Amino acid sequence: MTRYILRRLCLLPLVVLGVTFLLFFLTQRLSPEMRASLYVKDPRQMNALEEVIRQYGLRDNVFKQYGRWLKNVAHGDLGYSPSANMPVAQALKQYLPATIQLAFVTMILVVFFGVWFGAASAVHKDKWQDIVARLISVGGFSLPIFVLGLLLLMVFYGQLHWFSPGGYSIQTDIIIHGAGFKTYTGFLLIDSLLNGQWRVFGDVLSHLVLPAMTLCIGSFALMVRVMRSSMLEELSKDYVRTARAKGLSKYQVVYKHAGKNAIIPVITLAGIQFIRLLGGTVIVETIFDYPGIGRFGVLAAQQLDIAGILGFSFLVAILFVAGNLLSDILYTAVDPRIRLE
Amino acid sequence: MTEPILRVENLSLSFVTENGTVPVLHHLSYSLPKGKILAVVGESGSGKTVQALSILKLLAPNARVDSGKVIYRGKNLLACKENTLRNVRGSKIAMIFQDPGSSLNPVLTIGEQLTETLRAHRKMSQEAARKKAAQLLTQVGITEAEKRLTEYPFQFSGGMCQRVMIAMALALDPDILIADEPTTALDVTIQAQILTLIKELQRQNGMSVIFITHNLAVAAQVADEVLVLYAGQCMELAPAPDLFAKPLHPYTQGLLSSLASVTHKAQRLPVIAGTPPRPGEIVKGCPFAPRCTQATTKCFETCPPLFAQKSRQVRCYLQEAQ
Amino acid sequence: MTAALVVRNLAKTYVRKPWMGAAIQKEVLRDVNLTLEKGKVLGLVGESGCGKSTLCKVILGIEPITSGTVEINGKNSASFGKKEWRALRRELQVVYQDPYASLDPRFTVRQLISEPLDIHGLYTDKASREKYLREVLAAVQLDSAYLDRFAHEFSGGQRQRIAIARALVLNPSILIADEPVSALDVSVQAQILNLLKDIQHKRNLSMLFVTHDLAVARFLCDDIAVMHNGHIVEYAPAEELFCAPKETYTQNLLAAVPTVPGREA
Repeated sequence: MTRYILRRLCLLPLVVLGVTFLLFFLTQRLSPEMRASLYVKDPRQMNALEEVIRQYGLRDNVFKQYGRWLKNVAHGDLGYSPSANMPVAQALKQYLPATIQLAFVTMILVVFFGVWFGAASAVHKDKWQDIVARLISVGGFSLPIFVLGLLLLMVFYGQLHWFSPGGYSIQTDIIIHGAGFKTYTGFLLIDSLLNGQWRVFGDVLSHLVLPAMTLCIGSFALMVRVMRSSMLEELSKDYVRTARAKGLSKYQVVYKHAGKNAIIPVITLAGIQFIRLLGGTVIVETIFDYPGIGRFGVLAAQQLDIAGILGFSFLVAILFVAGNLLSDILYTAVDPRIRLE
Repeated sequence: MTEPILRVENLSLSFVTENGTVPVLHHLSYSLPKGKILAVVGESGSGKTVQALSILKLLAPNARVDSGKVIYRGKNLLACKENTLRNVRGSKIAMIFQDPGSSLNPVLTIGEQLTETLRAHRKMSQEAARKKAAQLLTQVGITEAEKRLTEYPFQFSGGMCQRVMIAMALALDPDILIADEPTTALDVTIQAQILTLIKELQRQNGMSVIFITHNLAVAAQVADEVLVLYAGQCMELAPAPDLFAKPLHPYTQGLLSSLASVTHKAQRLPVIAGTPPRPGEIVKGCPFAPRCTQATTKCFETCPPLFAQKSRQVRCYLQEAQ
Repeated sequence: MTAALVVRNLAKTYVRKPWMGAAIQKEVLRDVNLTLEKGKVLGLVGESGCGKSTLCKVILGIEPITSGTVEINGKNSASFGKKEWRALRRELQVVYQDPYASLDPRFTVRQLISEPLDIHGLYTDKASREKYLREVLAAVQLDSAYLDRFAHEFSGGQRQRIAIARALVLNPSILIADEPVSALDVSVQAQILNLLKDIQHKRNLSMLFVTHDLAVARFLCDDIAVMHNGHIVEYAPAEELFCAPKETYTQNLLAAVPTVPGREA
């Protein structure tokens, strides 16, 4: 098992190198002058482009430039992001916790309701529970995320005024940037509680609800389907008949016996979905103006902020491999056949 | 003749499919004597497994009981509520299945699967259940029981899995054990061991056993009585020694003589021509008539009833006169 | 006269090489020696996992040989290229255990048994093809009216007849039968066993008959090789082996076979 994890960890640099090099290679399609102009803040310096090109070696061979970027990364320097107006590393550090927080809350919703609906749907096959679950699932698949996001905004923000999009309230900003507020984890949801700031907690949570609901719908639909088919398959297996023949209650047969087997594919899926959410919050964060790395990535792309884009994809690549590894480890925790082999 | 422990009366069953209703059992009746082994012999599609599953109402959702009763201790199990049945399942009537590997839950330890059976029916502490589980494993011939309780089914061979299934079935001293092709998936040497084990435990506990098999030779090893099923109907029901010494139904005769033997080399095997009717095929008259060498026009017109003859019953007009 | 099939000192080891760490070796066949004489039936008997299926795969060239040789009609199979293997299919055919899995249910009987002829470009003109197909069906005792029915319409026993017809259509000299009756209903097994015996006799086929069922082996085989843990433990003429088994393993195996009392005299 440890060897397996080690082997997977070896894969990590390969994926990260591959992704970032590909992006790096693509940015070379821009002329050195265009790239140099990104370093220039003052329009009056535009005539000094040639010097910038020389200074940063923008005409060098792509491998040499990539090597230089890597060397800087190794020193913790991901470059300066003009779009965020701060070093890329600092921007990622600031925005990532908010995204993880969003993805995590979403995942809790997805797994909890997905497993519940999926299992109920399989157990009551062709009854009303099944029909409802399948309708929701089909709806979730066919509703584009931006349509749902805008709908929710219209209803809950425009009509009902329950939740608010955009940044946190001014009071929240004042408190969290104030001297008394200690940062423990970087996750505002947790830090606010640790600081005993209930109002901040409430404000942060209310900013999470709509994006999380929007974000969860696609994964939820998939989760219901996977759980349903997995559960149906398990329920038809021989050991379920054995469990019934032993005189176990329906609850034990369904949840303890079939459920424990049916959940195995769901766990892998949940891991992959979580990662997908981390890198795929772009649309939702943009719609709700949520301060996460997705929004950072979009702004960087819009403003041709090469350092920002590279930093964003660098992070997403790492998360991707790490997440897959995590779900594999979870998988083995549930399935003894893999754990003990 | 002792009072039977279980009586199946006039049981008819069918499956409801997209293409209509497919009858699988026709008016099956038999009784299981206390402390005896009844072998139910039949080919695939004969209804032998279905009738066994119906005793505990473990049938697939699309199965429909058309008529009949299963009487156990004065109660008709087919009319019982799920809760009542649950108290019978595993504790009074236990069951083991054909494929021991897939009949155990792959992600639960052997210990967990054994103790949960015990705890489902008896108030028992986890420790006491575990102790009893270890005892049971030892009883079915599994060594190092304590250690093996912590293992998973995939760490057991097929024969060992079947031993675990047997231990699980015997956990609560049931009155009846239903064994559905328990040795079909096993090698001959392992099969011999499992058969011996079942017989031994049956004698020790005074259990009654319904032993389902397609293999007449296996039935001959264990059975006190044999019921031969064909196309969902009882063809012949007789004490085992009588049946093997002198089979009365042409189907039983054909089956017995078509078996290849290890002890002598046959030049040709006597065969039963044709194939068994497919499920759902409408058969007028005796279902075996199309394959029977002794069939008369009468056989094709109306199905013979069961003719009783001392301790045996045969569904064949040839036995009518006697 | 050369033998149809000679297996000499055959060994087969599966090696699994993980991405990191040492290779894991599993020896499935060791020191296997067998000779299938022309026109004879050699029974390969053993319990599940003893290596009999692997041996078949090695003989058929599906699995590479680790060491030793397989000679088919006097030619060493190690020297075969793609072309030779293809030509060999006309000499060497297989009938598998499960006629439900080995026949595509959406094919008609005609398509199923014509396929090998098409591949090898035989009986290309329509009339002779039709005549030949009817002959082959008759050989397995199937009505020629079945030619245009689909495989899924048939019962297990009939399907196995179709599978045998497909194996015979190229008129091979060697037939490998891998547990051909164990998936069939009891009342149908005897039919197929008789059929195989007749065909073997009529066509003077050399047959390697793989089975776990000793009774079936006794009925059909001239010689028997008993296999255990990838090794041949006893190899003798059938009558000798059944009447006076030498090895304890064979004796145990024979003793374990359930029999019907009174019938064994």
